[in-house]
Amino acid sequence: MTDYDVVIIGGGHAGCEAALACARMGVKTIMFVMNLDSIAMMPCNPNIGGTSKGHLVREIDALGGEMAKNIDKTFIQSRMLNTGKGPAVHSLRAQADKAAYATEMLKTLQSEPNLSLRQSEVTDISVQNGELKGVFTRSGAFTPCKAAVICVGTYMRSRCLCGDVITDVGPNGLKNAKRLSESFAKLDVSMMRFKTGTPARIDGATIDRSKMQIQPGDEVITPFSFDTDASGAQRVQVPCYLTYTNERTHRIIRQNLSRSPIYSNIIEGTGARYCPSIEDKIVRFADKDRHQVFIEPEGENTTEMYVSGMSTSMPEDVQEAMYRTVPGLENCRLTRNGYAIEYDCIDATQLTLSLEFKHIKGLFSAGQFNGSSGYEEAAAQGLVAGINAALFALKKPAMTIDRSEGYIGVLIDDLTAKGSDEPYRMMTSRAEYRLLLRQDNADLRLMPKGYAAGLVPKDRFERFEAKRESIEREIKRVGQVMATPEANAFLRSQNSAELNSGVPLRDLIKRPELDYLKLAPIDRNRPKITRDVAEQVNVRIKFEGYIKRQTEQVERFKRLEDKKLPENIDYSTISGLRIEARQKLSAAMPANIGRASRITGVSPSDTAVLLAYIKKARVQS
Amino acid sequence: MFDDTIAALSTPPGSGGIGVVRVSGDKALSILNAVFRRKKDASAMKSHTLYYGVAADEKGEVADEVLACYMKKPATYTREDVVEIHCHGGSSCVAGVLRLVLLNGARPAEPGEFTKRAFINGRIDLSRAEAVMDVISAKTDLARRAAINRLQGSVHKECAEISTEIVSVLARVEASIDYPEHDLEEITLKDVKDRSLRLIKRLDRLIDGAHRGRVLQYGVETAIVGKPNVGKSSLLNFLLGEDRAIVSDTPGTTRDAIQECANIKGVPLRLADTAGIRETTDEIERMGVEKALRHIDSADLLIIVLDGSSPATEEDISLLMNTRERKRIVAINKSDLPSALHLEEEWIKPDEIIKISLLDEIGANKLLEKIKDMFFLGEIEQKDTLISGLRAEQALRRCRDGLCNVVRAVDAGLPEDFCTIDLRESHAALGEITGETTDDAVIDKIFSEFCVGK
Ligand SMILES: Nc1nc2c(ncn2[C@@H]2O[C@H](COP(=O)(O)OP(=O)(O)OP(=O)(O)O)[C@@H](O)[C@H]2O)c(=O)[nH]1
Ligand SMILES: [Mg+2]
Repeated sequence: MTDYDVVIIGGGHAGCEAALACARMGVKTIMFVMNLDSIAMMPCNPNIGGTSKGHLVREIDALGGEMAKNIDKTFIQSRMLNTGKGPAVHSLRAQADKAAYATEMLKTLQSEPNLSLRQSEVTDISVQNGELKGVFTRSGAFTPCKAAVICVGTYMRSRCLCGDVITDVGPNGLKNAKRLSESFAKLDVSMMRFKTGTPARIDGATIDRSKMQIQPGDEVITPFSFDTDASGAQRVQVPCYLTYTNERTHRIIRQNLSRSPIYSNIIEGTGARYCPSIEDKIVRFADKDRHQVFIEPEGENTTEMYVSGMSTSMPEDVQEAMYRTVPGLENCRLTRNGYAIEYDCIDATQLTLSLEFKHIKGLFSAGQFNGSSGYEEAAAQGLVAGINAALFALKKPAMTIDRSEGYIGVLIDDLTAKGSDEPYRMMTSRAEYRLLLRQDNADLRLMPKGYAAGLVPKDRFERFEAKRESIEREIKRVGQVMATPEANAFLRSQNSAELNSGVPLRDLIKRPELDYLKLAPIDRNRPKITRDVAEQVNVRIKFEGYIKRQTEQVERFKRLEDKKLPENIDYSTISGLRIEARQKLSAAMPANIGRASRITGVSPSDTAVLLAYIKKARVQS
Repeated sequence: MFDDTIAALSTPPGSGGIGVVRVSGDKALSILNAVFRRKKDASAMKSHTLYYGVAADEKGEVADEVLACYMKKPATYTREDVVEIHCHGGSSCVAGVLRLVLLNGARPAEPGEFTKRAFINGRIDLSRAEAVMDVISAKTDLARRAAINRLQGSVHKECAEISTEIVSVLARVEASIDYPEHDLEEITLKDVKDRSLRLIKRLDRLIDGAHRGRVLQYGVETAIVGKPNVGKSSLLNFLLGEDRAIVSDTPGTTRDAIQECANIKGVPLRLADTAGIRETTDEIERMGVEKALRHIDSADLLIIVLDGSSPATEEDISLLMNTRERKRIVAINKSDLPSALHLEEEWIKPDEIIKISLLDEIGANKLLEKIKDMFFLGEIEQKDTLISGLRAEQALRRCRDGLCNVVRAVDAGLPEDFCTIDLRESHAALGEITGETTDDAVIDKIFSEFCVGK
């Protein structure tokens, strides 16, 4: 029998990243999946990216993950969102060809020499003295390993609901997993039950596109991966369509509310506020007379389309009736029902920032099973958990990302420090250092970490170093090159104030009406630099003041993160902590003061007491 | 070791004598240089030497004549650079000097913070530090409660409203960033600016009020309470030395609480005469009674007035029982009349009782002495009233600064997401008064207000 270092349980977006990271870092890896035909499946929306999720995908790429490359190969439409706003919130989103996305990912997995794929249900996890020993599969076979990553998504004891029809399955009608939940109960892992949902799919051949507004992709496509050549990424795109619900739609839903499993209280799981079903929207926002509906293609080789904005768990007959009230969908045929799904997940406050269980060495967990939602959130966690599982197997120190380094850091910190009582979705408003965490500089922020972990290859890192240097060199140069009154004719043409004496080009870049690229005519000795280098130079100079302020905020944040809390600390003996804080801290056992301060229920004065406590401990020792 | 500089009044507050404002941290000397002017002498100040001069703001407006001393680290109490400014002890002088120091870069010290620093920097030993730490944690909550209490009523309400308005602007901007394709009513930059300007005006009024001490006053919060007609208003008038409240023999005369400041033998009091507590069907009187109950909850010191000429009623007993754990003085009034009041031991401790007659002013001096003693013997927690007031003022100023930056960003043509950086800072600053944290507030608002999501 072959020996494996790391076992990956599950082949969704988290599992794929985890498996690839491990294999590429040189550890022998096996991925167990319930069904080899559903690897990298997208059971909900047919797109990757979007606000804040686009940032995650860029960061995954910078660390050496696969999602960005895979969507670059298989997208059928691409848009940069929020271009009218500041650079911090520009976000890339691509419509995926779902089948192609899954196929390409499978190919990539299969091409990794260190990775084995195996269709078999993991039923039990073996732990001795707080250390992972291996996993059992359905047949009773035991696979010993040094580390394992759980990426079981929404399959744990899942059930799907559609009206009063409850089916004992996972997403998309696939077989669910039951035994593993019991195994977790035995391991003292605290579990929760969450709920999410998806709309129906319809046959695109039965809709009237002339009644809907066409939504084309960008004229110039920006790829996700820093490695994908932009000029090669251009292709013919497939449009989406926008239409609206109306009073008739709402009436049908209202008349049938009692038949919805949510309003008849069949559902046990907690749903997310940001992913409301159409029933929810109509009940909660009763005064809105219409809601947007986006019709999105599911791929190039299928006529199926996704009805975004109308997620539902109404009975089948109601679904058909309500969709048909929407302009363009009058004669549509449903290909799959919408449904709500509930599933078991864990309370992620049991994990460290490296996504390892605090009480089980070697066992990592990632993705929706950690209480998040979304493909990108799952992939980001899978990547971090995978890297750390490999590092663990190699006996190297863990790699973590904090809130000031990336959206991935915000995501994992929120999940593991605060905990969540609904499925957690990334949002740009959750990132307090947003201006520093731009999608355009994800490589600058994170590639060194990916390289240090051994995931980013040397040649890629060298190209990155060159880019970094040329940015610094160019910023320095425009600070030295002087613009003189000779440039006044040009400035007049740009409606910009004229010069009386020389000023560095840098000062002109800062003017709202000008930017780095616009100054080319008066910057004769400008070196040849790439577009993305120019973009960095421009952003760094133009928003220097704000960037500096956010950098200062980060320094304040780091000071608290650097104040470590001992692992064996007994909060019940620290006088001065309020009772609630003692309980919350004892349960969470935060690694440092910063994390402690973000726990709900820990007040600023509790933080002050902790600060004094650790200083005292240091004086004592 | 610490990167900020702290300041506080380090002598017991009270009028008369000298007040010492102490500053500790890296910026201590530069702050001193900014606020302290010596008459002719321009030579550099020597460490551990007292100099004479004035404390003044940048325009030269003098807050007080002072003696100042700079002590270079490490030979200081906190082992940091320390500055002491000795000014006149009156509350306005002390407040003025402390305010200058804070405006120039110090932040108000938490209760016990000098000691905490002394300990952490290895200046004092563990056994002493342990005792201090219990106090630190107990006191920070108290100080917070004090700030909130003081601001209750109109000022707190106003802060809460401003905070809500900031969250509402933030949520709009954030929702349009996170959900660019939803038809949300987009907030325009002009809107952001106009709303910020309106908030700045409201903050200006608050800061102005705070600064002039109209709302954030200084003193021991003292409530005069009791059932109707026992002589509460008479007591207020006596303590003030003027006929401020209406006195009559009709029970239920005082409806709304009356607040005034008084100086009792050097102890600053913020007095509240309240409506007599009783069951009543009169709507307005009932509101007054509720207000009186709130005063009982928030006061540092209670003066409970009883009528010595009649037996104890249900109201008297329950008031005495409910406030047993509080700092209180029980004034048994109308001692000029034959005594008919019998008090059980269970209701009251003998040393809490003072017999007086406000009609003849008998025993009144004993009452004044009692207040003074309680204060200087440290029996009444003063809850760092002055500091909290200044801290609140600072929080309001930071909030205002943030909004001014928002206006500047809009004027500079920056996209709306830049405004969020300052709106967040403004909201966080107000959070020190309202206790609200930004992240949760904004995200809750987005999802409760806008219909977004796939
Ligand atoms: N004999 C005597 N009468 C007093 C004394 N103090 C107050 N009074 C009288 O008691 C009556 C009530 O006095 P107030 O001061 O109005 O009483 P209060 O507690 O404020 O009453 P409400 O506002 O109605 O709750 C008045 O007629 C006073 O003149 C005292 O020491 N002796
Ligand atoms: Mg009265």
